Amino acid sequence: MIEVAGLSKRFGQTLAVDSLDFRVEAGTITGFLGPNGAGKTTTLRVLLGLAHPSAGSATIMGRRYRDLDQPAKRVGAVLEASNVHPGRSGRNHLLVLAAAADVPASRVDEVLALVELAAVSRKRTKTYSLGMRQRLGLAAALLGDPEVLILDEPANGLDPQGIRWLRDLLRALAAEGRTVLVSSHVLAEVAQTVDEVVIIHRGRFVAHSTTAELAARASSAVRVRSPEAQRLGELLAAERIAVTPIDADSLSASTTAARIGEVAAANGIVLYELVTEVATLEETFLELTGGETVA
Amino acid sequence: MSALFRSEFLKLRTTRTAVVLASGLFAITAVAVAAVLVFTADFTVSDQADLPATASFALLFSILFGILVMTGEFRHGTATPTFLASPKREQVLAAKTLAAVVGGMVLALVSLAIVYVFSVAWLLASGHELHLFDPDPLRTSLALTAAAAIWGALGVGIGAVVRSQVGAIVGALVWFLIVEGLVGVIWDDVGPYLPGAAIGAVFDATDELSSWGGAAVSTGYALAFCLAGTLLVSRRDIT
Repeated sequence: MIEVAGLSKRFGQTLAVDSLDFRVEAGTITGFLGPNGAGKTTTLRVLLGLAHPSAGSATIMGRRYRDLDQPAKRVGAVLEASNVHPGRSGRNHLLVLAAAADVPASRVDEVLALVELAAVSRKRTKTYSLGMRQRLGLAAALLGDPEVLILDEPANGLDPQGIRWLRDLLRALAAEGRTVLVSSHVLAEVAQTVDEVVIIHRGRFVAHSTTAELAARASSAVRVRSPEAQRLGELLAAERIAVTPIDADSLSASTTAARIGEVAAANGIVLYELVTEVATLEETFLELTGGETVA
Repeated sequence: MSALFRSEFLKLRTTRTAVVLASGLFAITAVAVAAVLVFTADFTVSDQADLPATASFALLFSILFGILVMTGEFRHGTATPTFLASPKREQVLAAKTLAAVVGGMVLALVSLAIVYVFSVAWLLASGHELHLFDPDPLRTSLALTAAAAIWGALGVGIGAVVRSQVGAIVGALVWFLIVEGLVGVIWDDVGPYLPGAAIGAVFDATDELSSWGGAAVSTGYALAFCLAGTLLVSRRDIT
């Protein structure tokens, strides 16, 4: 449904997207994840024909966005929430877009009701909160009743209640058989909504898996405290177990508690503490992306 | 294409920009024509034939209008939803050019209507014979309307090339109010063919340019900027 192939995008000296490849199958909700500056927005803007790729291609239903017949009726997109004229009312903003996309004006009131903005729709958008502008953007994306939805950080500016509302809406839209690609720099925002995740970092592909696989991949580590932590570490390393020293008398090893107990017993090492730590989904994400998720 | 034009027309109706610009023009035109009427002692046939040119403030406002139609999209970031709704950017620019052409004509026609209403009232009240509807002043009015249409298109072209709203407006004003005059003095053989001089020739023929000549040269400028602007807007990334 969505195919990104060998996509690169260079801005001057910076390679914002570097030979990126991934596919999104029809009917799935896919999270497009990566830290801020990973190249998510750039990838989506190329996919939507707003930016030109330096190399490679990004297509929807086998075609470039601009080559689709009536693209706004097939693909809905939410990009920056601030892309509205401050002096125009939300309703008029949608009427303008509906006219351009050849969507009947009656559809405007339907989508306004759907995103719960009907009450303020005749007010000028400069009076809107960021959350309201996000909803307006979502309304614009839904105007053409598209089968594909592409959303860039739609949860930005939404309060926890709004995020929950968005999650329910996305689930409902996907349940209708639509394909949804939603980007975020916080896995937790989308983890409960998406079926699959595509993770990128510094413009490069990192991982593509189902959310369940990602959870299974969450590496568990064992924290050990021992007066002979250093010797234990060397012995474990000799067994090809990844070891990270924590301080003088403790370390973390990527294995099971049982294995460490066996190694310690076989070498007569005293253990003071042995704790299995299961990484959360978020930690796995952080690990994959080098820990750079801070906004 | 007609859908895109409807969308552009709706854009103009749903913000205050066009109304504010038009109100400013009509106020200036009213003051200007009132001043001309008050300070003209006699109204000969040729004096009356010059009156429609008082509406020529509409030209500068048409170019500003065209610039605003185009650069507003970049200034407010609405270029993104606009080009998502219709990714064939050259069609959007064509619709904008058409909107600015129509807008320029409306600005000129209403300005002319103000000039005519004021003038007819004044002439009748002061007991002069009316020559405002002779072929000459009517031809001037028609030419002025055509000139405003051409400059509306030129404004869209300039806006598409420059993109920055302030940059395009300041650039256009500096050119027409200062630079063009200087260039004309330094190279006096190109002076009559520069944009400001050429548009003037459309409704007030010069030795170098007839009405049609002025229209041809002005249309050339508008076409050049619109084509360059379309090329640039299509090639550049929308941010």
